Amino acid sequence: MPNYILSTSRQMAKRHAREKRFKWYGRIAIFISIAFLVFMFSAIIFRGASAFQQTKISLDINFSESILDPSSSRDPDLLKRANYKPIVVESLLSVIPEVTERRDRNRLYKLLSTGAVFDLSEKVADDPSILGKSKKVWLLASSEVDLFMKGKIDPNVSEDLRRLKDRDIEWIEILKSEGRIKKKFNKTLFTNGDSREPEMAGILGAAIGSFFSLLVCFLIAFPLGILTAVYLEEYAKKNFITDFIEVNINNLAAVPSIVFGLLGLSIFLNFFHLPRSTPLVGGIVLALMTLPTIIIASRSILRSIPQSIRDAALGLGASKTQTTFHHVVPLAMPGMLTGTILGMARALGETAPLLMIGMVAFIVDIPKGVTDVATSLPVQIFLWADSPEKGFVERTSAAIMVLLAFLILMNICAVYLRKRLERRW
Amino acid sequence: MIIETKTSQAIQSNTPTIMTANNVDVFYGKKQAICNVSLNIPENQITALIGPSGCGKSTFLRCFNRMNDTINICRVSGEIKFSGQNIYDPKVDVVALRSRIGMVFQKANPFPKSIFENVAYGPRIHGLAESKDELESIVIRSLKRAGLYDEVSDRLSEPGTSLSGGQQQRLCIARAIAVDPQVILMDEPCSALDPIATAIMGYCKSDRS
Repeated sequence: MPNYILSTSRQMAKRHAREKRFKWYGRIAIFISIAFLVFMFSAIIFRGASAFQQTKISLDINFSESILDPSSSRDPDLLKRANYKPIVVESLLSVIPEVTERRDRNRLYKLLSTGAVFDLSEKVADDPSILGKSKKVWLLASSEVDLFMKGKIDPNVSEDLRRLKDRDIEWIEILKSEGRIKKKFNKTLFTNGDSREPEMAGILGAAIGSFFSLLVCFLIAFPLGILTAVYLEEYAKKNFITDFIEVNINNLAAVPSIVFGLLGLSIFLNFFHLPRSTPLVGGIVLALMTLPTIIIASRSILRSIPQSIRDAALGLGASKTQTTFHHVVPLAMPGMLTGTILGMARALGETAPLLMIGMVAFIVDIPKGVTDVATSLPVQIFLWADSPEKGFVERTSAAIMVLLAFLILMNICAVYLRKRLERRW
Repeated sequence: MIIETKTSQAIQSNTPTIMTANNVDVFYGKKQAICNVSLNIPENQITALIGPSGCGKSTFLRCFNRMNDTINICRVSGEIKFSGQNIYDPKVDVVALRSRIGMVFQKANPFPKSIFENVAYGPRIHGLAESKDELESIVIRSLKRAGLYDEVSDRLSEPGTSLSGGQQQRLCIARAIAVDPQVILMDEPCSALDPIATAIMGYCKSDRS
């Protein structure tokens, strides 16, 4: 009987070692990329987590009718324009009575955000029956107070180097001892548009601007991209024209996004006179940018559908269009959707082309449609990161977190859609 | 690879011919795959093409329902007639032609849909069934004729791709039968079938008239 060697020979040992080594290379590569990711996320969360809380001060406000509505008209417009400062100062003084000088009163009033009186006026205009009564109200604290409460201002630093003076801190301690100053969930961040005051600034305007831009982008890019891909892949004869088109699509995919912004500026704004700074133009520009990505992804998916499926349908006497839309496109759809959503996710994070078409403006109002002036999330992040106010530092990180959350949401959507559509077979 | 034309005198039959091929040449680009083949195919009979692997049987077969049209570089010359009409005539609608001349491919290629949908697709696009019941009876009849019905009768809604290779092949045959074509071109349809299944197939073919 021949003696076959079945135990590990030297050569075999070498082969096994190579395999093991390669596995470890892969593990190390994955570990490094995960480490970077964890580092990035923890840096953002560490900086931005505090932005989800906002310091508020509770005061017993006496809604004096003689100050707010001397003529007893109950007209909401008049009520909104009334002077709320006296009643706020009055209630502040009831908590901290030792302040007598006019200058100090003003300082005391500055503990509150300038937005606090807007909140009050809204409240009164909505419900005028509150007039003449006294009520406990939580009011926005100023950004400096907020930063102090979050431990981001060191009281041991020389007084000249900080805006919050020792007296302010004394007052804050008094408010604290009475339980009148608290950190609460920062609803403002999710319900407001942009503002010059960090404590009043929110991302809702930018998020809705992004949403409208992406909506326009999707409505244009998806049908155009899919139809182009299907035509080029299933119908077009391969000749030098289709080759030329293919080369150009590949080139367009590599064009820097800012160039699409310039294109939008010169064509859509200067030639067609579409409204400046609007999600409509932003969406069109993003669609142009996303189109090549969608076309390339869809074509490669269509190419991966086996020819045998087409043969099967054609052999049964299905027409070209029936074959394509009954069999090939449904099979390719999950992949095409994934490609589209990935392209859209890139569009969501895109800043440069939007700068070119004026979506970088300071916009307080929340857009109501695609033709309202708006900004977008990444542009908002860019604007806040650029702002000298210290309170915007944490808000920038918070906005990044929200943007990332949207991106993750979109990717989950892509995975979910793919799974769902695949299960249908 | 070139088929040497052996005159089809071997097929001694009185039945009328349904298809004829005259001097057919097929080129893939500059390469000639079929050289001057002529053949008569009688109606209601099984005609088999036999030859070594790669000799062009499939290419020749695909000429009969113009499946070669889907290959860009493929060019067919000569004349192929289906009940007297040249199928390469510009007036011929290739879609109508393929509904008359069905095809079963070498590799089983069921649609990634349910077994029922696989068979029902052809009748549906050609409007062969007026009602849902009629469609169902066509599907069942076709599956029976392909010798598959007994194995799948209780799982018609399962995907066709979940069947075994041989079952998939018979599913493809059922799918081709369902359209009720005058001619079925089968490209080694029994390659994935066991001898018993092949015997059933033979039965089903002779069943056609």
